[in-house]
Amino acid sequence: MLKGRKAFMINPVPPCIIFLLGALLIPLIRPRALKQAYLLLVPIITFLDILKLKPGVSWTYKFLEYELIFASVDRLSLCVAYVFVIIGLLAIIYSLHVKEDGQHVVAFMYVGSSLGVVFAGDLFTIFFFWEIMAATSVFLIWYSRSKESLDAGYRYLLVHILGGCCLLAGIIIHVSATGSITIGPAGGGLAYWLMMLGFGLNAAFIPLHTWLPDSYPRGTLTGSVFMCVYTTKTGVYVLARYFSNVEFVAYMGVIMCVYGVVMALLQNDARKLLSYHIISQVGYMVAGVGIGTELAVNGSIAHVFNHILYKGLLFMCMGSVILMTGKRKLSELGGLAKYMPVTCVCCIIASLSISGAPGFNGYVSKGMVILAAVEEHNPFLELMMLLAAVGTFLSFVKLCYYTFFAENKEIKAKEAPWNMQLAMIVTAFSCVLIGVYPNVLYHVLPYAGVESYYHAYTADHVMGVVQLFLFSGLVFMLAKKLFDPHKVLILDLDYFYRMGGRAIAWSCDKIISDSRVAVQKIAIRFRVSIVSLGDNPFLSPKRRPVGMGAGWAIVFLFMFGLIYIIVG
Amino acid sequence: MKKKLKMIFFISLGLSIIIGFPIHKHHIAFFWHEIPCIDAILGVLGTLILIGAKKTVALFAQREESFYD
Repeated sequence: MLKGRKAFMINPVPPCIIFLLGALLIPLIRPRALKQAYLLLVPIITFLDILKLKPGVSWTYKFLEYELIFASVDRLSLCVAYVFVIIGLLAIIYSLHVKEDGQHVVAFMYVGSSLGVVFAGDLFTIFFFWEIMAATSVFLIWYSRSKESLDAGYRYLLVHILGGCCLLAGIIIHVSATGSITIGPAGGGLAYWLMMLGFGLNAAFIPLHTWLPDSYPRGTLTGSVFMCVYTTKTGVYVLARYFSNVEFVAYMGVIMCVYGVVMALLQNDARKLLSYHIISQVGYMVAGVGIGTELAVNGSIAHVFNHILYKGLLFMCMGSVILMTGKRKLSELGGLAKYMPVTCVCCIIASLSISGAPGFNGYVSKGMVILAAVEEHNPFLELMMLLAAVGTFLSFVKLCYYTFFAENKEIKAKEAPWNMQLAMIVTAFSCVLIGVYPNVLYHVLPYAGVESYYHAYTADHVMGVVQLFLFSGLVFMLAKKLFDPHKVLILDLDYFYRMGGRAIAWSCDKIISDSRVAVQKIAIRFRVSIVSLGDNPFLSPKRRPVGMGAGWAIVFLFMFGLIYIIVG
Repeated sequence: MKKKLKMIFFISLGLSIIIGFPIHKHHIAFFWHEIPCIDAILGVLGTLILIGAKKTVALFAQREESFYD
């Protein structure tokens, strides 16, 4: 039962409740128009609920001898919750045409459990919602109903169960050692690393990242929009709570930045390219968390906010392209700008946003994280993030060019349904709004007063980014052939997992199975020889030879005689 | 149309160098922050490094699409 400390004084409820209970009613509502209205109403009510929440409010719950904090509100949780619900609403608009209730139910539960993680005030509550997230999101992959998605879903589930086990083990060790279940900076030891592993897996730490580019491209077209938002960002959010100002995390962040862009540049599948860019962009956020200064954490959370918008938009655009053309590979696409102008413009806006071009939201937050690295006097972090920025720009020049502008006379398409276009337009507008007027974002960041010490639009910053892009664009133009998409598969580190899996399967099949057969053969021979002892040795040799039975009888008879003579 | 776009692109390149040259960075932490138009140089170098990295990874990790099937 929910017990409110201040709940009796205020009207709002924990936001996750609205989505989780709202999900259960979806199959019961008829007709379709009413259902669509209901789907929109739930996130709107949740957003109004969050607007009423004030930092300091919490809901507690008695469980065994622990007082669990079901929801606890502060500036950090509010900032992330705002964008989770905003993109939740936009993703729901994008998927309004989906007729399958199940897809809506799991999407709502996924959003609800993500909000549960954001507002969770203790370790057990985090773990509870963490597992619901994994269990519900896998259905967004399986609803594609292809063999590929089924396999990818199982791999996704296995990896997340492993991460969940690590997290639970870490929590149990931490609680038994300290007796505390509250959320705060982690100490050290085994519990620390197990929890880092559990959270880092969701944040796609290298080499734990392979579930992401494996599963996201195989999700449903609408499901991928939800998936690209919540899992990795909750990972970053909990890292900000537990592992802020940890050097290892900062270095892991920049490794993710560069690894993601190099792998993205090699991809042919549009959604796989976007998936690798999630790893790269999450790298900026993780690096910001690791640096740990006020500017860095603000930059990291600002990048969570912005990334959710432009990455959601990119998945929406590519989802529309795949829906309308049936093609998902860059080598098969091209020339869509004249058939899908709205999608094309939205995709260009999202590409400029993720690249960090002035006037778009990515510019504001990426600049904050890079500046934080400069202020910490860490040249490696700065240069790696700049390298990743160049790679991001190149990737999205490639994506836009080969999808919308490259020559392809075979392809014909029309614009996506109105709801998909509406969602894309509103999301694109949000990217531009924050880019042009970043104060909207500054006001909700965890550390107040960011506008007093960070100015996004300085001449050197704007000109630096313009030069970076123009000159990397020049090399792209001169060496365009090197960026051509090819119909190939690029192995990732999951090769080792998969080969390990195959080795286990092979050893089960060959070594263990063959050993079993060999043992079985020996046992059968032994049994046959024992049974043959009971054979009648005087049977006609025509029917069967005297054989072993007679031989053993003679041996026993001889032994008996010998013992009789010796003892007697 | 393509020619016009190319011309605009090259004019932008030139302008970015001319305008960017006298602009100095606010936060100077490392020696390269003092080099004029360093971001243009980083853009070219970064792209070349990424092309090299991309080629190296492809050399070891490129397989046929049906590899796992």
